[in-house]
Amino acid sequence: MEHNFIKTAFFDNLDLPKDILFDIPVITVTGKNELTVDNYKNIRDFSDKQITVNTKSSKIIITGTEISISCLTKETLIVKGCFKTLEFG
Amino acid sequence: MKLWQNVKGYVCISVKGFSKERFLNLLAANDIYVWDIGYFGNTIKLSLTVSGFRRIRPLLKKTHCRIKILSKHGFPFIIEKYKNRYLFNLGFCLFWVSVFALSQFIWLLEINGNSTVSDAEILAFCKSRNVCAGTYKHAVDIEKLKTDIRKKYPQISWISVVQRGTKLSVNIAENVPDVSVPSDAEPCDIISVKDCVITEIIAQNGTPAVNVGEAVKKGDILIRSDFDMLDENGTPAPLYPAHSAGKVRGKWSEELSFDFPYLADIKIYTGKTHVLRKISIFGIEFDTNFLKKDTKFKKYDIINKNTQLNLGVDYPLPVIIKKKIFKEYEMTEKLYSKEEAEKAASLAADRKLMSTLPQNCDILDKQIEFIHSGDHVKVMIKLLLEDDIGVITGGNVFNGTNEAAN
Repeated sequence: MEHNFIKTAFFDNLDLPKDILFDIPVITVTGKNELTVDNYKNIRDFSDKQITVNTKSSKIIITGTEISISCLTKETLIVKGCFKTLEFG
Repeated sequence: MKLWQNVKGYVCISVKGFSKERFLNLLAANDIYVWDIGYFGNTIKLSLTVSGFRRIRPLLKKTHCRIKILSKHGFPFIIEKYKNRYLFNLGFCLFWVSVFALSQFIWLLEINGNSTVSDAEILAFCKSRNVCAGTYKHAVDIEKLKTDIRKKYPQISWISVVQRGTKLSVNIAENVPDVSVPSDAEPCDIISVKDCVITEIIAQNGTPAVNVGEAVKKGDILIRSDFDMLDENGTPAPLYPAHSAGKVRGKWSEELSFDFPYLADIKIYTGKTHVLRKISIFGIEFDTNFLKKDTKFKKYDIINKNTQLNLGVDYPLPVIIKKKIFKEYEMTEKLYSKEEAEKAASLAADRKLMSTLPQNCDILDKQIEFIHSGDHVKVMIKLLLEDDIGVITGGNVFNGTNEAAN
């Protein structure tokens, strides 16, 4: 905890992006039809109505219709579809 | 990205089983690139590369999933499909080889910009220098051809020969033919080429001999080559003959008359056409009309149309389709009413004027009169015309034609 506190203070003071060190997911939403998740851990659940993605900090639940994954690599996940909600569980 | 995957080849598969998400996670963990993952009922469909597909067997075992190949896309699969069709492959290769081989020859000689030298003359000259349709294009010495054509035809002032694809274009600019005009230093007069009334006279060099409104006759001096000058003492200065220059315009009237009959034979096209086609390949003609070699029509016009096949603009092929179109017509007699005859006659008059009048001539006034008599109408056209009438003459040398002025 002590260690983490020092790290946070260091990055806060230098204005450095935190996702580099802490593996925090970066979520980019383009309109309501495309969503990119970087630094994800794995896919927990996948259907055309809902997709649940695990990340290091929390899980992300996206609901909508016609959901599909347009690109899947080790670091990046691009989800396409007609989104309704985006939750952090 | 999609295009590149098409070149490399990819497969679409459907995955069935209990832990499909785990399978996806394993694909990502093993660095197998997958895209377009969709969920359809109990199965998921996804696309992956051929190299990725070869590596998924252990992952399927681990997750107890089953796959089915839905479709294969891309270049490697097309090759696989046609690999054993030897004749097809041979034909495909022969096609490209023949396209390459045929593109090494010139199949069209195009000549632009010539007016006094005819196309046929230049083509014949090129043929005598071994440049014609069917010549190996790398054997053509363009520079030599250029200099040869310029030597042969001195009226050509500029020439460019461009060889592009299977087309050789010869672009030409010709000189204006030499008119024997006395040199600037030589004294000369400007004289009239017509009987007319002067409407405008501007002397740039020399002394005007006539005034505006004055009637002159053919051969009269309009601008004199000597200057009337007085020196500072008021006595006439010695004459210095000059090279006259200037612009003189005059007007004159002309009359034209012709008869236009009420009863005229006119051509009416029946709308029936008959087409004979011939195909010329490498200059050898093949007749495609085996049954009807000639037309049944009694009276017809013939229209010839040649179409050369090409691959794009620069790659004409040695295949020409020659069409001979016969258009049938019938001659019928038409009786014009007086009004119709006047209309038709005035149209005919306009056509006649277009062909007979000099090009730069202005029409100041035009009066048409119709005199109906018997079976025809007499058309009288009175014209008031204006044109340049001055022409340079060196001393007594004067040929008196209008062409000399132009």
